[in-house]
Amino acid sequence: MTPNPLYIDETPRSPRVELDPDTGHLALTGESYPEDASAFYGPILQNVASYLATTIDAPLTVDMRFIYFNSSSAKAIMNLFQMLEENAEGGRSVTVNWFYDPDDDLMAEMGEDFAEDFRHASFYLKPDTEVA
Amino acid sequence: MLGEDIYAFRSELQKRDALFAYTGFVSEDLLYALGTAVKQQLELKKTEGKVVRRVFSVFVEQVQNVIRYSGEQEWLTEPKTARLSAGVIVLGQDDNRFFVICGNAVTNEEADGLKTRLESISGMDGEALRKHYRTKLREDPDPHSEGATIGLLEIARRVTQPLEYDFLELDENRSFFVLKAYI
Repeated sequence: MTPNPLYIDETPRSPRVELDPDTGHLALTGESYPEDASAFYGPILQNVASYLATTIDAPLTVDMRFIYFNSSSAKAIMNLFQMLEENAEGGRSVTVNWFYDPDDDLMAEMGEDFAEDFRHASFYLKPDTEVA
Repeated sequence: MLGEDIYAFRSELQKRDALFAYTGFVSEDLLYALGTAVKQQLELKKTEGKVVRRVFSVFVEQVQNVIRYSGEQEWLTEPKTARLSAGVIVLGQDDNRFFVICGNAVTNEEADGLKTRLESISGMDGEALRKHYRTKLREDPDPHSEGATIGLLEIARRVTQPLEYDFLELDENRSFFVLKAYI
């Protein structure tokens, strides 16, 4: 069974979310301070979990391009990363790209902090002038 | 009379270095609108991007704390989808530093919990705050919290001088909690 793709449009307070099961690509782009972070991220995490459950060892690439996220969103992002790291530990090839505005020291620092949690997945900090 | 009265009211806020001040019910829609006003006003003052990001981040965490934890809340619709929470929000600037003040009623029990957390946060330097934040990110959330501890840590990481806070006893059950953050 092929898992369903996921697409959620960007709003001023929540990121665009794209999951393409055919190419093994997940992307989150934009700002994130939704009214209820668990209500926003819960279904996304479930969708990613079911993708991971139905594709045993297909490689996954994740592109994160955040302009801003609040602390509740940071918690949800951490939950996503923990799920990805567990999967990478299980043998899947997982690559996470953390794109950020080179002038944004806070986003660079958050990327460094998240990087420390990855042992098996590859995590790359990518300063990118396109993120702004 | 009316003009004099309201002009004096405005002057009082300006004397207290307020760029804007709001009191009354706060909602998530208002957070978005005021957040946009914060960005616009800082942009008008040609504020450096790094400072704008810090002020905005502190503002969002502070206002979401009012929305989530104010002791005076009303739910707008059934099923419970939107809430209005009473509080005070001030964005100000003195000596070229920005500040964000938020105030709201809390139960005395919550006040005790907040005092403990704020005292512990006050004793941490930048590196300790960063480590504590990372630890809290990994933990399962406290069932009563919608993210408050981590929100306070985020605020504490962005300030340029120690957080100021106070609890004014309103009656035997409630206190008025005020948090002032300089960025």
